[in-house]
Amino acid sequence: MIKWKHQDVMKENIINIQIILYFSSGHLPKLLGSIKNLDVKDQKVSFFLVDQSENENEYNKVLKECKNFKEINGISLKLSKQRNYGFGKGHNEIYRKNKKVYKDFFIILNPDSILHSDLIINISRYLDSLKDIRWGLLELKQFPSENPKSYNPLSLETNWTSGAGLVIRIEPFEKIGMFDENIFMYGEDVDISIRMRMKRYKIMTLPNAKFTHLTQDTDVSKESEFTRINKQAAELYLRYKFARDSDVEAYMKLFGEEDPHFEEIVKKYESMRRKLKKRTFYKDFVDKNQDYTNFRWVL
Amino acid sequence: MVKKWTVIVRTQGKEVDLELKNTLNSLIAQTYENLSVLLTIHSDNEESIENTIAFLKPYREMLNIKPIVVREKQGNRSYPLNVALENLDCEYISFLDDDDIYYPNMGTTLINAMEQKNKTFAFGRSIDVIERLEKNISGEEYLYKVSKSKRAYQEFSKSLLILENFIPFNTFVVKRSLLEGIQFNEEMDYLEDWHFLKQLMFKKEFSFVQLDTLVSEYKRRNDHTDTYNEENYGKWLESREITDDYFKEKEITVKSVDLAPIKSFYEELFENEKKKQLEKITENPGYKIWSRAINNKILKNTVVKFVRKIRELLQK
Repeated sequence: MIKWKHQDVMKENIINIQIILYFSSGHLPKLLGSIKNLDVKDQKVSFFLVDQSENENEYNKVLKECKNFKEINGISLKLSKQRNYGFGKGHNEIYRKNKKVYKDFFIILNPDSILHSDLIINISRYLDSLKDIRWGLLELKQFPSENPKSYNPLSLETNWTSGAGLVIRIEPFEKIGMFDENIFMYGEDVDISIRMRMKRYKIMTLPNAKFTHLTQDTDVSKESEFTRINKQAAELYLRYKFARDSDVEAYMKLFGEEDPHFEEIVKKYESMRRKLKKRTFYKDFVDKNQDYTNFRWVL
Repeated sequence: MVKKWTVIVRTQGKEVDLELKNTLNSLIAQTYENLSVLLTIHSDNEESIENTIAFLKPYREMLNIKPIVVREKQGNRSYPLNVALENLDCEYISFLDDDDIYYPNMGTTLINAMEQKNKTFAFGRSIDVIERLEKNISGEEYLYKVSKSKRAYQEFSKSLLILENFIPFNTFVVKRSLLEGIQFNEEMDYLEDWHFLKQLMFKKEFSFVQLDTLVSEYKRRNDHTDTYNEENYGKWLESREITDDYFKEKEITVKSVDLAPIKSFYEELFENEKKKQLEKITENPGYKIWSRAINNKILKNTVVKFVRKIRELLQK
């Protein structure tokens, strides 16, 4: 058993949280209201809000909301902007710019969120109790609708973690090459989960570290076209990246050529596939009896 | 000007727990702009009351909550609700138990529908959730979701509501004007919500809009303590008699088209029961052996020969 070197993850009690904004000014009143309401005890919490809208009007709205925020109780807010890099590359860029002040981990969060007042306290408790565990990712619990996936109720291990709210341990994050910048949006959280598991880092879910995630619909069967196209393309890309051509073909048959978005999905997938430098067949690293679907969805 | 919507939450001032946190966070997440919460704390234990009020503090920064302490009539489920009804200054009312949640769109969706169609009652759909208290590797207790299932869409009909309590308490919004003269029956230990709905339904001003939209989660208990069981059946039956007696002189006109929802309700119930019984049968070890046997040619032939032999012997 690999003994994980104990690191004082709560050194200097600083929690750094990155939030990418993209035409998110409408969500800010509730998000910022909930940030002000956080019970942080003796923690220092820094929020890095980065606007990727590339729209001056939108940025001014964000600026107006953020100007009213004053540092209280050790909670600070920094606003900046950058190009619209998408999700994964966007967070990589923010991380690169700020990593000098980060300690052992950082958190990423969606802007359409309302933080529960005990979120930070609960994250701290988990980090303390899990300090001897070789973890790579800790998923914050979405409320009211959890992602449909399984997790072990005792060990809290899960098969993938959602990027909507995620604690990322820096050492393994850099080791595995950070977020895959070939993916614009959707799927990069699954990708990073797979790569963490391949390197034997545990990925876990934190049931009491909750935030309200205001997804478009609570009924997942009603997701938008944009979401659906990008998710399906990502599923194809991940099969290409980690599995065999036959896994890609099988998945394509699953949604079929009759699918109204088939061409767009395949086009998106092809553009990601062309940029991939190296395929990593997961079976080299994991139990040889698993197939991709099992590895992806089952603990 | 957005009209005020009040949600009445009843709690008993028990030790503040994970479920009430979820309830309040679901109200904070509401997209409806003019929301207020009346939280009745039904307890005569001063420490418990103080703890609950202290617990509310962070939520009051994000939510307009008015706690109402109710010390009288301990054990009476309806009394705190009636106290809350006397404290209303809003256009729309809903109810939420302290272990259930709303989805963020609940108020906006139902109230918009009521206003567009000029109705006095609107309701949506709920998801039944079963949770259990678990302890995990970090040493904490938390609520682990065992299952979630959408309740079947049941078309509204007045005659069906007379027969069955099919509208969950946390799925509707009602216009305050409809509540005139209506109270929760304080003699009932169970089914007080159903009795309330039937009273609304018989009012001349009652008009409804029903939406096929998920608006809430309804906590079910695996141990059936949330419905009638062996222990509470006597009291449940008493409550049933009270509500049936109250409405026995009331008349409604039933058209043949009204029978369709009743038929579909009982057909669905029957199918679900049949499915549960079949599941029990297929879990039976004897059935499993038989099922393996009939799929095994050699064994099947042996069994068939055996059965034929027995029949021959019986016929002799």
